[in-house]
Amino acid sequence: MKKLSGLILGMVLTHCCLAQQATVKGIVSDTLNHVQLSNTVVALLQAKDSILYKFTRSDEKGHFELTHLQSGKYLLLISYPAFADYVEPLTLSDTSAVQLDNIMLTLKSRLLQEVVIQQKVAAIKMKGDTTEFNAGSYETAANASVEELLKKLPGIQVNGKGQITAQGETVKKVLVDGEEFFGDDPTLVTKNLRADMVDKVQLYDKKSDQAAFTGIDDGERSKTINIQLKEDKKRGYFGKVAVGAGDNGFHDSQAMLNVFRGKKKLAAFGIVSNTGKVGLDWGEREKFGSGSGEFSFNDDGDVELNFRGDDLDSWDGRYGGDGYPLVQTGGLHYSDKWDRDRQNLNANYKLMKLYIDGNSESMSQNILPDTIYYNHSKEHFNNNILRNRVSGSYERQLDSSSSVKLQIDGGLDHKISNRLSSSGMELNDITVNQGERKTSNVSDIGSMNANFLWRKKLKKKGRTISLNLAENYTRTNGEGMLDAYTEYYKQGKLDSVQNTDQLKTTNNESISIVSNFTYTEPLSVASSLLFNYGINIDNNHSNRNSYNQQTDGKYTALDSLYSNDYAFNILTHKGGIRYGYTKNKIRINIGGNVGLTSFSQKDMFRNTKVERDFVNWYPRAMFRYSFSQQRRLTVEYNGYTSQPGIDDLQPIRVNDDPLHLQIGNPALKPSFNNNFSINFNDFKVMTNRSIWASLRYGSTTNAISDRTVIDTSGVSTSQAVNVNGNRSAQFNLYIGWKINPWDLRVGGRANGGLNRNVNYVNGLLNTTNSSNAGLGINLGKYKDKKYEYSLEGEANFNNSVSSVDKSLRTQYWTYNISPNVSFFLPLKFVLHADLNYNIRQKTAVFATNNNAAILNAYVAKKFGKKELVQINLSMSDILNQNIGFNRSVSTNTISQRTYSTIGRYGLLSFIWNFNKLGAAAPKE
Amino acid sequence: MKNIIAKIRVILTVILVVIAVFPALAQHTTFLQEGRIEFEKRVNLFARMDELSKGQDNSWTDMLKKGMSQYQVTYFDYSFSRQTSLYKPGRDNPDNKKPIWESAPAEVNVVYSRLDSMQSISQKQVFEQMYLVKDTVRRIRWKITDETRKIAGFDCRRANAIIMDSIYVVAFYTDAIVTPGGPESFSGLPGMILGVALPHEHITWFATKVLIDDIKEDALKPPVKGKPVDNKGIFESVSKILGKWGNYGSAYIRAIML
Repeated sequence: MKKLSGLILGMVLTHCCLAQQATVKGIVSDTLNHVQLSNTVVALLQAKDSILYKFTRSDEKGHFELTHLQSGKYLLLISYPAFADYVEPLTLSDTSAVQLDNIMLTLKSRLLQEVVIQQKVAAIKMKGDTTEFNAGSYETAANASVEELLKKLPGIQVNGKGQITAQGETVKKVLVDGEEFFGDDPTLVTKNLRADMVDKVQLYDKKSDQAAFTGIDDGERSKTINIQLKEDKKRGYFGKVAVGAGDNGFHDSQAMLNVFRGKKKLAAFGIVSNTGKVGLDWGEREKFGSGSGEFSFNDDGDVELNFRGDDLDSWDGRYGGDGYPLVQTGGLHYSDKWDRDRQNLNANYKLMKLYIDGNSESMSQNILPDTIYYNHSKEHFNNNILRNRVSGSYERQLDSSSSVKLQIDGGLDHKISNRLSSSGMELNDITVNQGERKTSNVSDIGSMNANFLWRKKLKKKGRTISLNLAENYTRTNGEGMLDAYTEYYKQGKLDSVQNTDQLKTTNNESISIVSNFTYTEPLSVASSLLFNYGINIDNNHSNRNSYNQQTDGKYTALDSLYSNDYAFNILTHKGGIRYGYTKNKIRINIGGNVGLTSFSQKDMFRNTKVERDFVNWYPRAMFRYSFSQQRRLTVEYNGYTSQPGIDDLQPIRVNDDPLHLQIGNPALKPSFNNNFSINFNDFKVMTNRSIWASLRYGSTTNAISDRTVIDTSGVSTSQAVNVNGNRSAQFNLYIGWKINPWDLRVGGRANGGLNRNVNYVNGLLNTTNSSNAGLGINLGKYKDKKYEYSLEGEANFNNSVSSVDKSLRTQYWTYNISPNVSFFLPLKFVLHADLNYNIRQKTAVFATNNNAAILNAYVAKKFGKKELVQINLSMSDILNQNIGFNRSVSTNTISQRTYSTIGRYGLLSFIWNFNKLGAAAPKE
Repeated sequence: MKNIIAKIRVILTVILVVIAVFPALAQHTTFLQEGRIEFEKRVNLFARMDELSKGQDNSWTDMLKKGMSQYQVTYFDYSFSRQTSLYKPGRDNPDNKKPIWESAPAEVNVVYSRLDSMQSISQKQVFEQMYLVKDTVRRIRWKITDETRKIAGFDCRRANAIIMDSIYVVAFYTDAIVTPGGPESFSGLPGMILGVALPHEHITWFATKVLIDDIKEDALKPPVKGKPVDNKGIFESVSKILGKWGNYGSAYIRAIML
């Protein structure tokens, strides 16, 4: 801006104060006809660099005049369409008045270029009508320009003006990686294309632009050179090693490494920890693992993240379940892209050993029409898993219109679990039953999954076909012991004793094959129809046996009440149609699938076979209005059928907990779900204001619920049944903005929900209506490399009433406050503290104190110029109050569970980040 | 079919213009003082993305690439009458496959220029904010070359320049159009600029057709909507937010300041 105003000022000065400067005047005419040429461009260029200084056009009589010229050396360039340029050097002094009265322009004549085709046998490849030269086969001097390389290629000439002739024809266009290359002016640009950056030079016939524009190939072709650059061959490695040790045996050690060479990547990691870290987190997976998932666009144009991990992979790499985890895990990853990214391969292996132990305590209130049972239990558990898992994918772009992708993964789990629990049940403070139970189980689970996708774009724009085949196989073989002792009381007195001592075996197998063929036909630029058809096979086999102990001490007597061998096969023909419309701000997708589903249920124990047929519906509709790029409204309906699982169907009595028996129901029907949603979001980038609002409603017909009967001894027997009337509705609203004067981010949230759940209790239909409402706020402020503050607070209210006893209402509040501060101090010290304070209101049933204030803090110091070394001293849960907690109020059973989680510990850790990046690698 | 006829009609118009203009060239070249030009703007998004991510592919950039065309092609209508010009978005391009939320900067720019007084009024949208930038026309130190090429039937001469301290510009202008204008803010050459390339930014504008049209200077109206600012004002306002976005932010700022 300063420069510009300086320039303007300079020009003003030129005009007002230095008025008697040089002038150039003249007349332009045509040599042949001696006609004065009007509108001729008369330009004055600076002689030293050809920079345009001033220009004018001649008048009707061919006269021109350039005034107020500064002294200096110039080139006078006079040009007129179809005439040869007239160029004359001029040296002007302060008072020069140049008069050029007879400038004659001549019509251009064309020089025929002499064509010399050199015959040389060299690294030339012919691909169709493309000739390819291997740049490496032609020697050029260091820092040679591309033009110099081109000169060396057989059949190509470059003249003094940089014009290129190939095989006798003038090359109209030079492309670099498909993009037009204009040639850089070395006096203006330093970043030049060097010959040593070139991989291949392709010479091909390109359809004329006009032909490309009309789509009609008129046969007019022009020579085009495409210069393919070498791919950036970066090489190097990076990684980290972290070692941490603390009090009470806590430790956390991690090592991660990524070695890359171009697009080849080999990565490895290892973790040994008992602080909750059980795997790579999202960011680490991208660098050291199989990648953080695959983003793709779905049919509605939304982005979906598809992550193929196992049940212990999570976004933060931390264990989310009950108990204290100890992990030893490691993995390897290899990936490569080649053939100009048209092919890629990805392979992974992971080994994991995880031990978990802990305690849990639960309390529940069973609301019955006339009575309320109270249940309490304590449990100690220890589980361990040895997991081996491989996964891989291969993707290939076959040509510009089709691609294939194959993904496979398989795993083997060896699981051992043991639990010891004791429980008691009371009715009006009088014991109904109490007991102890010990279970142990060893199982092997194997899985093998594959997915194949082939896609092809047909000639007509928008017409596509695709085929997807997916296979999932799981096999579980398990053996376990159940040892339960239960005392039953009547009027407070011991009435009877039950002993269960059984060996249980499980042999389950399931295989599913899903196929889907789609065809998309464009109706217009904006709309299309999609047809799809597929056959799905879902075969399940479940063999569960219970054996009682014989007199010889061996568990060989089959207990047929608790045993069954069952097969459940589903065959579905599914087909549908969908109409899509996208134009301007509107996007519509309407359609649906219909499935002809056949159930085949075979009870090998009773030698019975049932076959049932259903017509299943999968309707969908989506309407979106995009007010602007960042503001949109989406209204959606999604209906789908879900099939009952074999666990719900198999006619077997499950006595894993003799006080809570479960029976399968082979008569279950598929359930149908309706989901409506309205979403609105608005994000203002420049003012940093965002609004997210959503409203959802869902209802299910033939929902799979349960029918429970509780007898006078407190034993409940549940069976899965279809019910109608399950509904739920939720709303969420978030508004965030920024208070500019304080640079403070502020957000407010409101949410609420209504749920209606139906089940049967002792023959009566029970409806539980529960609701929740919450409000929250968050504040945040940060200054780069100085500090970060945030504060979040929320209050939630829960309410639940069951129709079996409307006088009993469960209501409670929960609150959470979490402040968070970090200071970035001099000498590369970081100080951090955060608090997560949970307040859970007591209720009449849950009278224990469940409040917990979890305070964490750490101090970190980084070393070195690149801050690659770091020492951390952290203390987690300083107040030692952490407890696992959940409460459920959605049916007539109100329950609360608390369980062990990692509590207070201190940890001193040393973290070393290392990297060695090749010359071509980006600087950090 | 209709489309093809329409296209053929367009081509015929171009051909007629060319036929009308060029045989006359021998002695009495027709010099255009007013008319309409359609510019095709091509942005090589893949190349821009690769430069932003420094070639570090991940599944996010893979997805973005699969979901869009490598070249985003948009059309702009440019009307000129003597010393006044108006550049504004033209016809839609249904072949553009772009991620719906990715609004390319400068895609809906409207630029009104008075080439005699060197004043311009341009309307630029940055996300939800519309700016109305009133400032002088950028003065470019053009370096004239003797390289020529034909664009939309017109013989053009090449000129090179550096703008905004670092952006290398290649422009092609024709003597046959007297108005010294061009697409966006490019002007200042002795004739009309029919082609501009920013090779290192991977952006080009090329005229696809030039139509002789009787356009009155006062029929070209400057845009009026938007927050009034000057070049310095929009730069500061946009930098305050996008300046924190790293490479993506600075590429966006460069594109909006062109």
